Amino acid sequence: MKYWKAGIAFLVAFLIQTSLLNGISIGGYTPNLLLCLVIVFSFLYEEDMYGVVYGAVFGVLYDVCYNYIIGPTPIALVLVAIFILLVREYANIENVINLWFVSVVSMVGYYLIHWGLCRIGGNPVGIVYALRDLPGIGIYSLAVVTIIYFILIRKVVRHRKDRYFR
Amino acid sequence: MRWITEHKLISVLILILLILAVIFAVSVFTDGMNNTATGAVNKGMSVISGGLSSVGNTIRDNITGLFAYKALQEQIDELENENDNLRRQLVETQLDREELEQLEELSGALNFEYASNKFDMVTADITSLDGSNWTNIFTIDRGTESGIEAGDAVVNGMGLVGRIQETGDGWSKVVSIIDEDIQVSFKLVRDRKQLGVVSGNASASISGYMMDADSTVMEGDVLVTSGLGTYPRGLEIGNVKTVVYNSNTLLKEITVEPAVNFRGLEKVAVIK
Repeated sequence: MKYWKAGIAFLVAFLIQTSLLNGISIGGYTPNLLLCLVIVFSFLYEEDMYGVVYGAVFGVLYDVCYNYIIGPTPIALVLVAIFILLVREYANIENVINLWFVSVVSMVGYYLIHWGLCRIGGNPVGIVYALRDLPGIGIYSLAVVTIIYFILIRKVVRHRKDRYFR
Repeated sequence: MRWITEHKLISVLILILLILAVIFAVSVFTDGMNNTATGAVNKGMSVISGGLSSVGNTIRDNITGLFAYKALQEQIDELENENDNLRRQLVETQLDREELEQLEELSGALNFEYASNKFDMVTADITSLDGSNWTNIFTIDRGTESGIEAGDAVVNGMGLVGRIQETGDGWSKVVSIIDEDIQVSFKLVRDRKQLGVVSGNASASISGYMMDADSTVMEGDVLVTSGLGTYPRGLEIGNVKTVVYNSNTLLKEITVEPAVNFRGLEKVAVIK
């Protein structure tokens, strides 16, 4: 995938995250689109580091617009992307169960890091409250991750470093 | 240097993380890093989000209509608004009555002329609210052009929502009272001589203590802002959920259920 195409995907996700997406919320929950894209792009594309680069850029923009401090979102997204880049070395990326496992760990990790940094930034909310909505958001996000994965997996170029390469 | 050229990927990742860490540190120490650049980004996003939010709301309304719940929804909204108005009227009436009694005493003693002290309010629509985030921070479509300033109190029909953290032309960022560690002075509606202080706590509710150890505060008591400090007086904060006497501090500690449902916000008003 070309860099600009991935950039447009992240831009659209960023624009609709806090506006249009609320129109299709389920029980008040919406999927975390930036996190979904970081997970899928990092899982499928290794060398271009879309997740790291666009996670940092759009994470900063997100915090500028929708957070009271700048930093928690991009740092959490970049760390998630790095985690997935490390894990994918040992995983078959064509197996959707591996994607689900990586997604669940990434989502829990993302919200923990995000909460920890916000806490450092002065937010008094405890970890129990911060993770209270995670099951609802996580399931919704997991569905979105799976859809994006099945759209993109058809266009992934096989690479010599992949263990299934023949 | 040689290590960097040999490990370009790791070097780039470390550099990105370092830059983000610096931005985070600066942001924490400068209370959000407000400047012209962030203002311009927020202004642009406010315009785009406003339009997209309208589309999103239309989609939601239509979907609701498909299932024939729209009429029911309107009825519920109407009843909720009516309920909110009645609750506010009740609080205001109780405050006004006590205030009037006191002012009448004062006017009799000092020949003092009572001056009406109405709030100057600006109503606003919420243009962005993230349902995938655990914080309760949102953006509204009114800003400096309406005379809004950072620190202004934000309310809805139920009570105190929070305060304006940052504002610009056509947008303002609102931080809820449960997302901040700032202390809010309050008084009981039942007996306005009883004062206390509350702030956000770990369970995303509000907790604090009464100033007087002999306070008669009890479960269900309604708290309103006292007017001391950040917020103007008379804004409903919530109901007392628990009361515990702390033998170490010799104070009555309380937890409070916020009057506002932060997840269901659509419209708010800013008190200038």
